[in-house]
Amino acid sequence: MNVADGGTTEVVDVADGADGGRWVGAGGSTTPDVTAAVDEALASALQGRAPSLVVAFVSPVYPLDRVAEVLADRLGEVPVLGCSTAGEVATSGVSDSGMVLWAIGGAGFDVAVGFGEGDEEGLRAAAAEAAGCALTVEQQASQVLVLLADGLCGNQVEVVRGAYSVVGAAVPLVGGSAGDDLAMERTQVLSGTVATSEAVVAAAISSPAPIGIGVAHGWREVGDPMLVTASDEVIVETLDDRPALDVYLDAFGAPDEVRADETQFVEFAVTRPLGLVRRGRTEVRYVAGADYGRRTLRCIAEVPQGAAVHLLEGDEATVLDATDAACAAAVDGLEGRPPIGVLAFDCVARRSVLAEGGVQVELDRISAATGGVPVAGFYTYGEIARTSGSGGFHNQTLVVVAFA
Amino acid sequence: MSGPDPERHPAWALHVLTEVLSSLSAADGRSVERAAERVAESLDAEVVLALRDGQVVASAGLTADDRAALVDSAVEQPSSLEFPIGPTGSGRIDLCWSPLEGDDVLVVGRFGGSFDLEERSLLRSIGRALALNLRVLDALDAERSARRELDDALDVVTHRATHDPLTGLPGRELLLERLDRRLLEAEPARRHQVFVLFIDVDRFKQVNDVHGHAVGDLYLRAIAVRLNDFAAPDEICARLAGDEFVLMTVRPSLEAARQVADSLLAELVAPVDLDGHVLVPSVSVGLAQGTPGYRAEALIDDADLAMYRAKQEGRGRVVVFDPALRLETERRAQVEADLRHAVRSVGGLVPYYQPVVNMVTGGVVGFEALVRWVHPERGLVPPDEFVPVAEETGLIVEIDSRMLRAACAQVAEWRRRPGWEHLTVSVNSSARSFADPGLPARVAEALELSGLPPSALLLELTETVLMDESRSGEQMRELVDLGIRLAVDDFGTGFSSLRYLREFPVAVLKVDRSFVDALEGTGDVIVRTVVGLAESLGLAVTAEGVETEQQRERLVELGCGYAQGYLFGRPADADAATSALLGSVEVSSPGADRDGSVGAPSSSR
Repeated sequence: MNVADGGTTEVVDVADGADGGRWVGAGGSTTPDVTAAVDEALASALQGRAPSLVVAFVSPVYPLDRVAEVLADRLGEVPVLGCSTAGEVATSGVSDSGMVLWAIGGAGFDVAVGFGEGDEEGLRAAAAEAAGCALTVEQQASQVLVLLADGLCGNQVEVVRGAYSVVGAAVPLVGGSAGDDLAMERTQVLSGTVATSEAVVAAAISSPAPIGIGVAHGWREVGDPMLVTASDEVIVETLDDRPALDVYLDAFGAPDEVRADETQFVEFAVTRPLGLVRRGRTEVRYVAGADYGRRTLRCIAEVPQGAAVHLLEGDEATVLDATDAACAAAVDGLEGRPPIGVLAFDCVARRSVLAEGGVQVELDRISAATGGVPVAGFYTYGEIARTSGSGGFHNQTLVVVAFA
Repeated sequence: MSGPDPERHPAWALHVLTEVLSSLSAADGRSVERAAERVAESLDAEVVLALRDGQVVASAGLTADDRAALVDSAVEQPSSLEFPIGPTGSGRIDLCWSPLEGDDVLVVGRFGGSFDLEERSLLRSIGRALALNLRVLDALDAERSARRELDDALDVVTHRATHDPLTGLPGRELLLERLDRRLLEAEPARRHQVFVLFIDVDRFKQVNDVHGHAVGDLYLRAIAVRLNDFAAPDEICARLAGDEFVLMTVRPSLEAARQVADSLLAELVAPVDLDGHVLVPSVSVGLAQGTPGYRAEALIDDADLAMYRAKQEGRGRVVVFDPALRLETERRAQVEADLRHAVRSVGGLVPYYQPVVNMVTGGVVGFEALVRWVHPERGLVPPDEFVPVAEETGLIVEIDSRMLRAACAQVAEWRRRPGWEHLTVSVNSSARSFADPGLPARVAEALELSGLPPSALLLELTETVLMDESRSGEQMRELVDLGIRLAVDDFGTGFSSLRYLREFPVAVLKVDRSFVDALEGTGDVIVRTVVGLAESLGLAVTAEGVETEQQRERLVELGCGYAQGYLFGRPADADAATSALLGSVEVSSPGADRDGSVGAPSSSR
């Protein structure tokens, strides 16, 4: 049954790799009791099989440390990592107050996990430490490093830089920044029995089969580009030498309530990101808040001073088009092999653009594009996908990772 | 997956240049590294490396092996290299080399896309900017380093200026500064009261004299180390000067501070071995409490006064400051000032003469000259009030000298009268006077000026001045060579030793008045012993402080030859003494004395 309907019926969602052995499973639950929810989601994801790795995407309605304890109790030595979310995604539906478990196992997959603690300086060192697991995993034809980070700690671009400094160009990076249902108060990551903020967790997964990665956002430019004339990492102070907040509000013709109430502003800005002009592409930056006194915009990833930015907007059609593009790219990356499972890191802002039924439509499109295999993921505060170049932090983007 | 859009924004390169230039900062030592990362991210490049003087100053996306391969290729600067792609594969990476300065270079590498003219032009511009930024950082580094060296040197100079070089403890100035600050911060209401312990090492001069200055320094260092170890982290320990130290502590009450002082005394007494010299430290401690509005100087002075009292009370103890101590000090300072004036003026300090009698005949054989101070306002000042001040200040040497000259002149005058030719005089010599090498010359001068025969002069010394045998022996022999005689004052009260009686040319022993008092109470053992001892050594004995007939009779029975005291006559000025001689007192004939002269001091000068 559809998890979003609040049911507790077991979701059967397992697929096996074409060349035998490898499998991917996903299961979810919205049962309020933590233990019962974990047990239910685990039963669906594992189907009685022994996993090599379990990744948990957990609504902030559940205490993450308690979830970690129950998982550790049920799984013993199996590596477990996860994070809090701004919504969970599973094959069977989208949830706002549930948990989704994604599991892999069987001969072929090799897994190593890592954890790093950051500080008030940010998560660069934490990401580098967590990424160290990529050096210990068995070297096979394909490898990917999944990163989950505290979404409210420092400049999230540093998570990619920290991990990239360790693994280099040889290993693609994917993942997302943890959420808290847009409360913007505390996000957490889970590693083994620990649930904590100011940290990064990582899982290096290697496989003899290809791993496909697709990235797309579906936003379109509004007006001419502007120069970021003053910024301090995530705070955009001026655009074309005018207060950034005023430029932003005027350009989008923001209503009065948005100009006076930050809560209204956050809702308004979710569907109106900034786009950094890059070589042949646009890197999206989610506008997370405004300082009415200083007339500045606050993003969750850096907007470098000197860069050119576009104002962006989108609608359901462009968001869903991007979903198709990301899924197609991920499946293309499997070099003709059928997918056996998918991980999805979807920005919470994209969800806001979609109408009530649009979320399910997006999920159906993912499912259709990937052949109905188990899908798990979450709505994030930032997405990680580095496949080429050295940058790879995104906002308001969908990252789809397909395994064969 | 979605690949990069080949259609670039028209001003893309310009924006990237602006962005990278904006990231360069003279204030951030890592800005070159950050800029290099940004270059790679902006150009969708996988790797970047900046080489300067053959050293990697920034890199991204490179394992150690890859970095080494790229560094090795810097001379050739190939446009592409075979590089790993994924865990097991490899492929060619396109490289773009941009000069920085000299042989320094920035290289950016990208898989599957060579660098077009716009990108190469962009990277050359960025390279030039990086080179300039590195130069600025170098200059700033050099300046910071020079400033650091200067600061370090200033720290050393400041430390030297504010700390005692011998012990490494803060010196007086630093102590005052810190103490003043603590006094301002003190919150008596919250039971945070400032206390000062003024610590003076007992008999440090003796350590220096006996063991030498090198051992003295080691001794001070050892005490400083113990003090420092004893002090809590928030307490201040300092060396003021010489053998004086201060410990500042913050305690809730005087009782608590007193406990600290007692613990310190106990802590310090463990023996120390200094190059084979084992010493047992002892200190006197004055404890004073800082009150609101107090300054450091005043607080230290209070503690100093209390320490001084601890010394007076016998050393090795703690005395808490009392405002009465300050009054006493002020009075003492007034006494000193007046005394200095008296020493310089005529008539202020005068000798009084107390007769010494032959116990058998009852006749006066001579006098002891005793210094008296006739204060213009206070009248006669008791000797025990001013003699200690005179000794401490050194004025005693001048006073002794003046008394010597006056007494010799007076007795010489008396001796010119018929029947008084035998009179002698005894004059006290303080330890400081006796230690003065000029004493024999002054004695000779007094004798010469007065015309008094040397045999008529008896110089009285205390037992303590005889302790330093080598120096005392030489001085005594010089004096005896002049023809005068020496007496040991207050015999039996100090370090009485048969040895010095045998070795030194002493002629008379003076029995202290406390033993004479005992004749009517606890017994006569001491007097009997002294008389017997003197007899066996051929010395004369003079009893001091004889006040009753019973004492006189007993002394006669015991064989004591001479005596002085109120029974025979109080000290009096020259005129009164002359009248007394002319009147009631019988003058002894010369033949009554074994050696023709004798004298002994009273118990007070």
